[in-house]
Amino acid sequence: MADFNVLPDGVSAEQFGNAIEEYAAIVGDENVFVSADNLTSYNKIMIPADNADHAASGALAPASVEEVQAIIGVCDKYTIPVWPISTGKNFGYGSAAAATRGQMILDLRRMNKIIEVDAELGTALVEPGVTYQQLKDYLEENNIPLWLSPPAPSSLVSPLGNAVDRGVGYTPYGDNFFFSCGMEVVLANGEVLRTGMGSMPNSTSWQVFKWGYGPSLDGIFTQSNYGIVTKLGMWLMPQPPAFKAFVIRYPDDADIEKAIETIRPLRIAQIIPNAVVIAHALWEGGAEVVRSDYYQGEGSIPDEAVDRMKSDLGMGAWNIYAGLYGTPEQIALNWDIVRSTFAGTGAIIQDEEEMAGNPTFDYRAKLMRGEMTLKEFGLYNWRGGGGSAWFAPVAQARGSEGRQQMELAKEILGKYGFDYVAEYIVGWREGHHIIDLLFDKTNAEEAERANQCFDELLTEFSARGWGSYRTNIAFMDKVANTFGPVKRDVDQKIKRALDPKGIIAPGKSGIYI
Amino acid sequence: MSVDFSRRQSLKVLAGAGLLSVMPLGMSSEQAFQASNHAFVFTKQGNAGNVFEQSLNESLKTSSILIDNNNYESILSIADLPEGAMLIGLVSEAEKVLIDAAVQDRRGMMQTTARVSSTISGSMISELAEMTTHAAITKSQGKVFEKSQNVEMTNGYLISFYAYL
Repeated sequence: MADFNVLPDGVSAEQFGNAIEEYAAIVGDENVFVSADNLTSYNKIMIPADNADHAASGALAPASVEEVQAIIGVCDKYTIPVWPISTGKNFGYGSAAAATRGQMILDLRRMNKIIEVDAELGTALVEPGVTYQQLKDYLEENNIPLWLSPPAPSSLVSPLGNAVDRGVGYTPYGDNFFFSCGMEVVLANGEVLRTGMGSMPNSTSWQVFKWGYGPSLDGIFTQSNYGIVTKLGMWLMPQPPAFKAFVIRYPDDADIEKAIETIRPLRIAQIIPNAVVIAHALWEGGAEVVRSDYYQGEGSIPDEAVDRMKSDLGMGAWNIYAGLYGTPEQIALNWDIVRSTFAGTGAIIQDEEEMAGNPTFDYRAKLMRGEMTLKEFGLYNWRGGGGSAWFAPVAQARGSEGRQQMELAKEILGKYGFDYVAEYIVGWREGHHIIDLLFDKTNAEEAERANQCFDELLTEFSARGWGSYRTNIAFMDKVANTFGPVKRDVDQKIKRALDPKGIIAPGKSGIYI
Repeated sequence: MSVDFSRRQSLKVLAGAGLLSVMPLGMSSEQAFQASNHAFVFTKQGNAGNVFEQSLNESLKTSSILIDNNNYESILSIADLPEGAMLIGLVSEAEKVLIDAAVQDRRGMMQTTARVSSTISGSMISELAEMTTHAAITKSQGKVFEKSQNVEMTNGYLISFYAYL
């Protein structure tokens, strides 16, 4: 009998060995992974948690929906949990690892077919393993003038994975789940559900009409463990005749209030239609330079050092990146509105011509027109040590609340000696307040401190009614609790109804049977 | 050879590399020597990267892939490198994360050998290159190199590593 590293909870080595043989009969020996060497890549987490708590029993790489269905049958037989991943690049949220120890990683990277792109309707249907780069290449090679809206890791990640985790991009189609249309889902009983219009045989409108008939179900398969999403419909933005990127800089941290107050009416009125980024200096600079160039002492980087960096790099305390889309005439009109709105608020406005050659502006402009760039990975150089955990509370798009959240975050991060590396991504009426808690994962004391810091951030923000839109695998239970017992109870009742043995991703978003 | 290419360009640049033989992980010393014919070194532009690359080139015939803060895309060329290729590098944290991700997509393995300060001396970089090469070849022979993991723990910004595809 094979010597397994980690057994699923309640499963004997003999049972697990039998299950492995059955999995291999489905996907082939070469797509079943149980050795420690082969599982290492599924346990490389950047968050401040013990990797052992998230170690996998094995990994399976199916190539088709039928293989996923057959795998689920074996999981049901032996009560072995599976944790689906698309490409496994959920950096700072847990990467490819599961919320709990002993799950089988269901690695869907081999399911990487672009099933359909409709150039006229601006839709696509993709499998989980398709990456933004792959889809971008397909559009270019077929001369299809549609744009994507990738998140910052862009080329590496999966549109399906990002949408079902409710991630965001930076074009007017930036809310990736909002701009999805239709899913295919393998349920825990092995059945295949198509949501929206997709349930109807021979439907012609699966990717064009979201709601179908009766209850709309797509939302319950996002950030959840009620099924395995094996196809996703996407709406793609037609390439506009013209595009203009610009940056608006404010000099002081307290200016976040003015920044949000000024941008909100422009967003709600769709003068500025894209997901606007308001990046703090430490996010801007963090992707460009390293911390030790400005500060080598203990504790958070002091304001004086941040000011020196701002001066060296020519950036503001807050830097708003936004775009205008449409015909040249529309853009000229809206540009006048934007400039007049910000005039007299203390802001400096610079457009593409003025910022030509600036690498930070260039990568922001690329993201706002749906192009691939890996520039933002530079943030990992800021502090060094490979630790990163995204703290992601939601704020109203109201200046006072933006300022309050900034002040609280800086206070808590400062207490633990970490830096406020943050940005707001402004949607229609809200801001995703994204804070990258960067730490040295190779330093056990610092990693533990980062864990405590993250915990306190969650506690204090939720106490003020500021909930997280997403979190990492080590804090999913805690965040679920912040949304109250009734929500957790309903989540659990749905789980028990759809997956009574709890074989799909137990612990995802704090949901168990 | 120094190469600075985009992902698309890499397909053309590496067209010849695809003809090289596949290197299994359990290869002999002689095979390891031959493997050096398709070793790729990843370094940052600048003095430390130059010294690291020159040190490697004394013992291995390598192709270089230069990376800078505005050119992380060159790392994606890993997708097109030949099966069995050996990668060795001295890179930043961001680059390590991206290289690791690309190696994982190839179902390869990656091992860091040290984290060092960016102010490390030239002689130490040479030693680091030698040690990393030794660790890579030892791993390829199925042995465990005892210093193969984070031998110098500083809050530094350069990471040496080896990887196999």
